[in-house]
Amino acid sequence: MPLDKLSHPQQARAWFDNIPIQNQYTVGIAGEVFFRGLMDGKLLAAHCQECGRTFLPPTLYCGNCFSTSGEWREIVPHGVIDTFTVVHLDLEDNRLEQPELIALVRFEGCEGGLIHRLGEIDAAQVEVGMPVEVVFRPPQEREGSILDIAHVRPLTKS
Amino acid sequence: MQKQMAIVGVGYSGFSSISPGLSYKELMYEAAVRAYQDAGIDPRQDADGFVTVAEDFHEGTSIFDEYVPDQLGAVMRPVHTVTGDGIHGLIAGALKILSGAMNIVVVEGHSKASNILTLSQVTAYALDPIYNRPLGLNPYSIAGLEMQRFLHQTKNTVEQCARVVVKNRRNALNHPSAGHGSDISLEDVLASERVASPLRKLDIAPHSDGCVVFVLASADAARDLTPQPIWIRGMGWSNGSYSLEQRNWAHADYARQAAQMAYHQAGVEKPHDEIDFAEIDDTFSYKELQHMEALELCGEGEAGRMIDEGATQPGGSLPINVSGGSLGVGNLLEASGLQRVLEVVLQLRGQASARQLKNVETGLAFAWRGLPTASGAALVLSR
Repeated sequence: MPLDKLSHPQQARAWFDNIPIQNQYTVGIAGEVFFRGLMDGKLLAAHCQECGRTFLPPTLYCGNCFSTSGEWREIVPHGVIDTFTVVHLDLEDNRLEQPELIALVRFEGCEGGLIHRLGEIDAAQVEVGMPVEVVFRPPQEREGSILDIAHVRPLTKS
Repeated sequence: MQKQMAIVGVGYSGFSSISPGLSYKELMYEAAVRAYQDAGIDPRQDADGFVTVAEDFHEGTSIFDEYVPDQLGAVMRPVHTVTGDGIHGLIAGALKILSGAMNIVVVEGHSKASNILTLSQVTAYALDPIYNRPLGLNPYSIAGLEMQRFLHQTKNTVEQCARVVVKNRRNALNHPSAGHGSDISLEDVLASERVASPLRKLDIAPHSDGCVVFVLASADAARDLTPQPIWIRGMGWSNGSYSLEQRNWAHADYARQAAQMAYHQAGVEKPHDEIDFAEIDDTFSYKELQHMEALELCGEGEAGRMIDEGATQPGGSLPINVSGGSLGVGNLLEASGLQRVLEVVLQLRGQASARQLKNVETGLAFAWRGLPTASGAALVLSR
């Protein structure tokens, strides 16, 4: 190890660099089913005929027994809040002017769920276990992505 | 596992919030020189193989594993780089010895976190690109979601989480190399900026730069090299689902499985009684409590009571993160687990200076791979 070390921080030199990174991500067979479902305003989950579990988001393979799922089931888009958070930072770690309310929603009879924005409610009113429903964007605005879901909101009784 | 392999050399460099004077290669060189001196080996002659842990996006270099040999004395030698926590790498090294293929293996992990100018973006890039990333969320949101569910289900509290921060930051004051020791109060933690409720700024381990290098040896080689080998008695690791939606958000199932594997090998049946002290992941305050429960150091929902009662303080019945943990030493990225092992080794050797625990025979090190993973690795070590 060197005997002579830097004695002032400004002597420490650094080189700066960045690269553009762009990708496309193939949604695959299960993703195709799921996103076509979203465009129709439906939540489609994968059902494993081997072990009977139903997965959302759907996968072609069963994470439990490793068989091919092979059956798609429509899920009633009403669920409950499993957990939630109010996020105060953006992706650059800057403070958000408008903090974002995010929830993980579980659906009955389904493994997994949906992580999305929670809307039409004040953060202070949110509770674990609260019933919520999925709000889809208007059909003409849907393009086959997770953002075809606008947000989830407290379940309106009807 | 009986005494089949041991840690016979340790060296480290750091751990400070910045390290502008040394490149990552020089941090590695510094730690390696110390480890080889500690073990009394010449890496060019004596080391049969090398394992390093690194993640390309943290290093800012693709195919980063090609950048490790020179500064470890490993040019034109068998080198194997693992993407995972340092304990995953250490286990990979130990298995080379256990297989009989090698006698002496070097393990390295480092952090140059201060050189990563967009770390939250890098972590967010690890999220599922189709189902999660389009929401454009800061990855601390995942910790906020998990902390909320963990506290809801176990009835541990945000005050108890804050107590973990106070303990570990203060413990770090007794660790001359810890980067973030401070005498803070519960109120300081509870009043710090909100990040992703209920998670606040001081619940998050700040980052540090540094490097940890170990020399591992088979039983015969270990006894030749040192009068004080620290034996690897059990090792375990487990990987949960990549899918955030499929996970159990209340309990750290990966930690329970990794520990059970390690305990079984080590012949540990009652972890709370047989583990004298533990260095476990505390990347976020609640993670220490969540991991205590998963590692069976206490029952479900009891971790908060243990911190309230002072049981996990250095003078308590089961000291946890005497080094200061990640909250006090700093989050060392892939090297975090190796820092935990380092503390266990120093304590078992009786070389932990002002923070030395008395009468310790067996220690546990547990690492979580960090956001957004549900993967971890455990190591049981004894004198």
